[in-house]
Amino acid sequence: MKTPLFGIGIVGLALAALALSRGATGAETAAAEAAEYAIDPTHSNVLFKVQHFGASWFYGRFNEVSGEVAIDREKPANSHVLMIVKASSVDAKVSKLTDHLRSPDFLDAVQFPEIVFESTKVAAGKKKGTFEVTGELTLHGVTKPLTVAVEEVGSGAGPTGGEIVGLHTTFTIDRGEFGLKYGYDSGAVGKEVLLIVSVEAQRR
Amino acid sequence: MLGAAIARGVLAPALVAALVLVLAWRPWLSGARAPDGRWSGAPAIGLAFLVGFAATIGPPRLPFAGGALSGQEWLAWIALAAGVPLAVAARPGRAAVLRGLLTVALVEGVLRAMFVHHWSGAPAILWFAGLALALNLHFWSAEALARRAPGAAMPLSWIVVGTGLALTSGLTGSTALAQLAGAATAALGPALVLAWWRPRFSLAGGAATMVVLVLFGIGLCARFYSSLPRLEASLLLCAPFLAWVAELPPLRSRRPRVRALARALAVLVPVAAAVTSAALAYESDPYAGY
Repeated sequence: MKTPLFGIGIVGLALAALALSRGATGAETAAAEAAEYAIDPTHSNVLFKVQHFGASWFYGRFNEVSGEVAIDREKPANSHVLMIVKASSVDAKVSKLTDHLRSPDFLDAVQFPEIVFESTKVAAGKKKGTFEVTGELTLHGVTKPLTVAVEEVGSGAGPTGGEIVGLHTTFTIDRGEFGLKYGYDSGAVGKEVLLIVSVEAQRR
Repeated sequence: MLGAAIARGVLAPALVAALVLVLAWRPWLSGARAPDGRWSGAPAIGLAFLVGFAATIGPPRLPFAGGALSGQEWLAWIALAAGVPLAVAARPGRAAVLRGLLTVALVEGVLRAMFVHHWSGAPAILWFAGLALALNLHFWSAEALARRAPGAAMPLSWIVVGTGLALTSGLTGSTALAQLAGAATAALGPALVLAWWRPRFSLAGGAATMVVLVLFGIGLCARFYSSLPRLEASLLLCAPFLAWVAELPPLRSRRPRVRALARALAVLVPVAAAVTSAALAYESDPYAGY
């Protein structure tokens, strides 16, 4: 008779210990870890607009975007962004103009193949569902600090059933600060470039 | 706009080169009082190229100060740093060692991005070896020709090559590289004028090596980082060797001015072919003249 009772007691203790340990681990995870997402290259877009000879706005885009995002809505400081844009994926509609943007006159894409933004600090934004993301932007071999306001556009189930999230930001850079000086002083190509970044990311 | 660009890119390096060369050669002195300013050619061209670089596409970033330098920026610093050693390395042994160091610095510095991002293993070794061999052939040829042909002959031939490189680079995709080639060529302008004034002027003893260093470096950038086609690159690469034409028997006994003209015309043939080929491709381009 002793044996079954002893066995039940051991199993009960083990189950209780397992439940306790799971509970503790789950609480710690919620406090310290943000939800991790991989940037979806298909549904993410990086567009830019720059003035041409002080007249029109010229729009172009980058076709290859990758990276990862970690979002903690409760504690935004736990969030993190890493975004990599392939410089040679610049697309200006006309192939020769695209080649010119890839050349040493502009992006020098063979020498500086990646445009990278990595966050160093994330804080809650002024409005609900927004974040102030501070980080370092590396473009054309030059790294500069940058703070952008990021809006969480929405989230939900994606086409494969997994959770997806949408993030959007626009910001302006002075291209001269990154050594992109072609047509800078003459005004042929505007000094300021507005970037529009729209990211869709899939929960890992 | 174009006038200001020319003033910055051509006049600034030409003035700097002229200042250094005139101070070294002091052409107003004659006879035994006239100094041999041969040492000044390399530092004059190296410094003038850096000034031309800064005047056209902005000052190059400092090495080792954070951030990745472009091959063009490395070239500007290598040219500046090489100026004084080339001026003092007159003995053949020292000059050979220096040329070896410059070969490593140029190929590794200017093409660093290719070795980091694009080439590895056997292709990287083959590219390095091939380019090092080509560069050293040019070093040897340029110095030998400069010793055999003092005066205006070699500055004139190199101006033809540099102008061709500038035009071809501009027509095949990079205005910035065209401006750099223009600045390097402009630095040779005062050398040409001085050579007509003082016929014993020579690019031998370092200046010829510096000219090769800078033009070869810009050519590497145009070929590997821009869109200089293989045909145009090959024609420009071969062009300087045609200056040897004046060493062939029919021309060897001719007067120096005839031989100088023959050298420049021989060099002009492949250079003109490269420029014409690039111009024809440019004119059929819908983006031309945007």
